[in-house]
Amino acid sequence: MSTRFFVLFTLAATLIWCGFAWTYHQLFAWVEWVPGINLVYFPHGLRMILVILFAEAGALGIVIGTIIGGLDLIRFNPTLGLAHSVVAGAAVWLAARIVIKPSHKPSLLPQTAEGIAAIDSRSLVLLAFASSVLNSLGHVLGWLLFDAEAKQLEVRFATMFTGDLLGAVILLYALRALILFLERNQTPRS
Amino acid sequence: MTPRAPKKELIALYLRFRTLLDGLKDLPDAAVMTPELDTLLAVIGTAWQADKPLAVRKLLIREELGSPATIHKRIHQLKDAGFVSFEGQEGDSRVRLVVPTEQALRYFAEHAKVIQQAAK
Repeated sequence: MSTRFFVLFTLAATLIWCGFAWTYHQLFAWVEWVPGINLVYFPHGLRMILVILFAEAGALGIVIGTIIGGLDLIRFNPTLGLAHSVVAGAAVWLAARIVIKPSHKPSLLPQTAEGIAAIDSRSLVLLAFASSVLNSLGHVLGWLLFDAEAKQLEVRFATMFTGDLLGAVILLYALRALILFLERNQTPRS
Repeated sequence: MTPRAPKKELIALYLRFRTLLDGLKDLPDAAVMTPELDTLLAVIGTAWQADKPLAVRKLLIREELGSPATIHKRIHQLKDAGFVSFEGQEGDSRVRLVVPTEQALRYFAEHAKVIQQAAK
């Protein structure tokens, strides 16, 4: 990917992430269990979509967007804030690398080596699961290393994992319902 | 003036977007399909494939599929589940034809794949 497009895609991912995360926090502040942990976190589904569409640029966009959205935490505890921001983007990217394997079938679609694309419904569900595990683990590791006062780490892990997985699945199914609803208005004839 | 060729990054992005849409559409759902709905959908699909889509009125009098009230209910169950839609007949918009949606075509394709695998 050329540098120009990498920057463009990173910028697009950052803007989309910031807009969605801000809207989510305005509408769903009441599902926040403790600061940074939500019982249902729809933006995790968006993280998956951004990484699938923009690959590394998408992951970087999430990191930058999370830094922008978490400036309060970064001022208070810069190491922890930056670590959590990196985890937010890197966890989904790493999960995608693990879950989505290049297909051996001949295809016009670009494969994982050139940007994550060889994806189907099964890998979407697996990606939601794997990225939720990695994201929650990464956040807990951040608290463990950079926040001596953090307690109940196992409860934080369980809550964040549930929130991420539930949020991602709900968002993906909401998008599926929207796509099918739009398609119903067009009846194909062969 | 020769139009500029689209950038390969944008083509890749578009292809990834299409793949994502397909992946989302194929997400597993709760089994709404019963044997009775499956039979009715097969009748609708066969007629549509032969380029003779069935009108709602004609479907309602197919006794082997059930009573008119039952068939009516099942047609709407299929419609709510996204497997069929209605369209007006060319030349007579009063006649409502029942046609399979893209979701139904994917459902048929999945069945065909399973049959092919079983036959191997």
